Amino acid sequence: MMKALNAIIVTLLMTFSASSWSQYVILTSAAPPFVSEDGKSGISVDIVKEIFKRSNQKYEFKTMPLARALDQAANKANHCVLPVQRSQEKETTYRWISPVLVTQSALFSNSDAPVPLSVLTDARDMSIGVLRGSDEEQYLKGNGFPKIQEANDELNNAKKLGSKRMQLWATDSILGPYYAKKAGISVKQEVAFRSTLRALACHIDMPESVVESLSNSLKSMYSDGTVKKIFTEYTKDLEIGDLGLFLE
Amino acid sequence: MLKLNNKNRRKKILPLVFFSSMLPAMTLQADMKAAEKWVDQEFQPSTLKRQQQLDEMKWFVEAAKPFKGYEIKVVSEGIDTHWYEASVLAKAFHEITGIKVIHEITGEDDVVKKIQTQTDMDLKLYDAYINDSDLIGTHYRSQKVVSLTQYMKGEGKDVTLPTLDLDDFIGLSFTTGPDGELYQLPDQQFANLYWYRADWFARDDFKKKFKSIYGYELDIPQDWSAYEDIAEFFTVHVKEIDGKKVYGHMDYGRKDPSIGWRFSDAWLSMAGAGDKGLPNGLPVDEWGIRVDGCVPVGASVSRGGAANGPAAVYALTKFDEWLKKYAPPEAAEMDFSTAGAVPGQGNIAQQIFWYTAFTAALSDPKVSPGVVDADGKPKWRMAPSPKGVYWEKGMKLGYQDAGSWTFLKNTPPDRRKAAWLYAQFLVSKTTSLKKTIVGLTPIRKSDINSAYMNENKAKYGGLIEFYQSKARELWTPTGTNVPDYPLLSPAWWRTVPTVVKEGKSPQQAMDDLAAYLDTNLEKLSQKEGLRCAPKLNEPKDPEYWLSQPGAPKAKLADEKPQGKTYSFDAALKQYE
Repeated sequence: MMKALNAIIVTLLMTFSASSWSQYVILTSAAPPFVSEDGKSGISVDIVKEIFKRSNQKYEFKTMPLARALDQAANKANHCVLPVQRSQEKETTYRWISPVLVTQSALFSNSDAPVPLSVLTDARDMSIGVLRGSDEEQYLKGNGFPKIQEANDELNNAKKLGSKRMQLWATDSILGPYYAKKAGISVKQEVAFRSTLRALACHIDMPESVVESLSNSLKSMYSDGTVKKIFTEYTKDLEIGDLGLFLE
Repeated sequence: MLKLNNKNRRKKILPLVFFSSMLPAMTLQADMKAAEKWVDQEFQPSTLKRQQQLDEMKWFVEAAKPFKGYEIKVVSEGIDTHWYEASVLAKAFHEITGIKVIHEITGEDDVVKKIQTQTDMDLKLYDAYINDSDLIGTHYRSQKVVSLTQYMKGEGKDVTLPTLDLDDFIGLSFTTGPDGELYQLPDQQFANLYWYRADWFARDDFKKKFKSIYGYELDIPQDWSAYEDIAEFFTVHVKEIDGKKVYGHMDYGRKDPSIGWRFSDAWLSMAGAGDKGLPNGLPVDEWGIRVDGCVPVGASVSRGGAANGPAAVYALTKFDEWLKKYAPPEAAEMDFSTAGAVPGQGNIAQQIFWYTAFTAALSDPKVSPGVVDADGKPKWRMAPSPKGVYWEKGMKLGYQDAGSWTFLKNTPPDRRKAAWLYAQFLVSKTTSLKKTIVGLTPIRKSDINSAYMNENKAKYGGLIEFYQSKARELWTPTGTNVPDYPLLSPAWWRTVPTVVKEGKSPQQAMDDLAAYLDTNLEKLSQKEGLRCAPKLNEPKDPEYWLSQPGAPKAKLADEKPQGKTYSFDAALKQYE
């Protein structure tokens, strides 16, 4: 008991000391509905604001292109980037507060031209649209899918699927319905193929006590339903099926 | 993420009640037609007769009825066996049972992170995991993993395959906790062995030259001294074969989680850092963690562990030295995925620790033309890895990976049942021989001893001989001394690469490693609800522990005695 009490006191002191010195800069780039166009709201942003509030840490948000944000958080103390797909390749570069959200990549068809798929590899020889530089592009190309078509933004992909210029669109299960709605088309999720832990990735020297404090705040937000509330608020008008069941 | 939940499933099925008198028979017929197609066109050869296969499939059709229309989600790492499962067997299972499976393939580190997230955050990410049995110490202690022993007798009795035949599995000892409960069911296994170019080792000119320089035969190294001599021989003295630069060693050094597994899997155990005793060494295991009963008491020498002892420092010294002196220069920037294919390019003479999961790729003339003959036979062989100078008889002989089905307690029971059916389908005798031929990661005695495997032994470079012998029990995964694998495993990738890239001394790096392990063992000692939680020994003068029998072992005056080699046939005797 005494040991546990000592540990709590030490953690509190270290957290207080870190918080009194540090203001964290959280870098984001627009990716609605995760991050709004102005970077001030969105599912991930609202969750992270609450994490910092509960941990009594000072922060400010800044927007910039993702590649630059990843680079800055890797190289500048007190910088974090949000939301990042946590992966083995990036694991050793950052300290992680995870998962801010769990999302998945899926293949969508045009509802007027469904493509029934049992498993991902059924789609191997089909034309699949992806966002250039996305994890979906990397995953499908890396696993030998030959007919990948890149676009510079997801709205273009939604429009291309709407006009049947490709058979399938590989994108995030939330972004797909979001951009489909924006493009005025109806899409059908055929098969999900990869779940991703989306995280807050911070500079590698973030003190252990701060990582622990932020992680504990996140955990408490899952327990008391705060994450679910934020998630539902932003996705209630989107056709995302049972994507939120992981929170049940 | 779970596309069709129970509620939706019921909605879909209710309108069909009108046809209820006719439907079951019709559905069964359709499902069995699908089963016949798969049995005849895909699941051959098999150790079962065709009718036995169909009987097994009929059981799946019947048992799956309550879950028809479900979509379940499982995850595994990305080796050939799992790609076959995700692409072919998941599709067959869907057609035969009506249960759709999203079988995700990702990196091993991601699998570990996800299972950790599901247990720590109490989220419902997957219905089942194929997770390495290295986590047995974690699962047994956390009490968040379903005991399959209890499950098969209780909740899962009606969905447990009568022909599962647990006695036929070779890896159950790796997935059983100290309490005798089975926590995981092996889906695929592969070992970590020595790999070498048998064609180059057989060349008279190389044999003569090697003997003239080193004074003994060029053959399979028994110890690290001989391995080092052979590495130097090919990199420094042979240099080129048929105009191509060759190397006597291959490894990887990039700061990545995979360097951590590589090091914790094999380097310390084969250097001889731990204690005698199978499967992992007692009381000090291959991570250098000492236990008292089932309670971890420390990793650093000052607490009775061996993670920063002389044998561990010797292991890291050799790792660094050989990587820099004898491996291709680009190896220092490689990781598990990029380095795996390199021996297949035909310029590597030997590799001290090589995963047999690469057997299929290195036996395929299209993938690895540099190391397969025109008649499809490999130019290479696998054999027991050489032992370090601190290794003693009675210690483990190598590492084996057993990717195993793992079910978490927070999964809804109906979804767990559907996932358990899929898991059993993937290891059933109907599918397993074909799966073994595709991925070469055997789990059943019946497959290993099948007529097919006996007739085709020569194609696999020694793999079948390994799995037909007792060796399959002497090569062991991480054991139960490691109380929380996801929490402790970063210790390895945080410290090992600092020697390669940052110029830290091996002693300093292993001191850092031991400190990381101890700090986190201390944290775990305060975690609520952890069975056999760590309780650290008070630190003492390291000399106290180094002068006790067993691990940690005192530094030897000569860490490179005369090397010894032996023939392939003699090496196989290690398996007896």
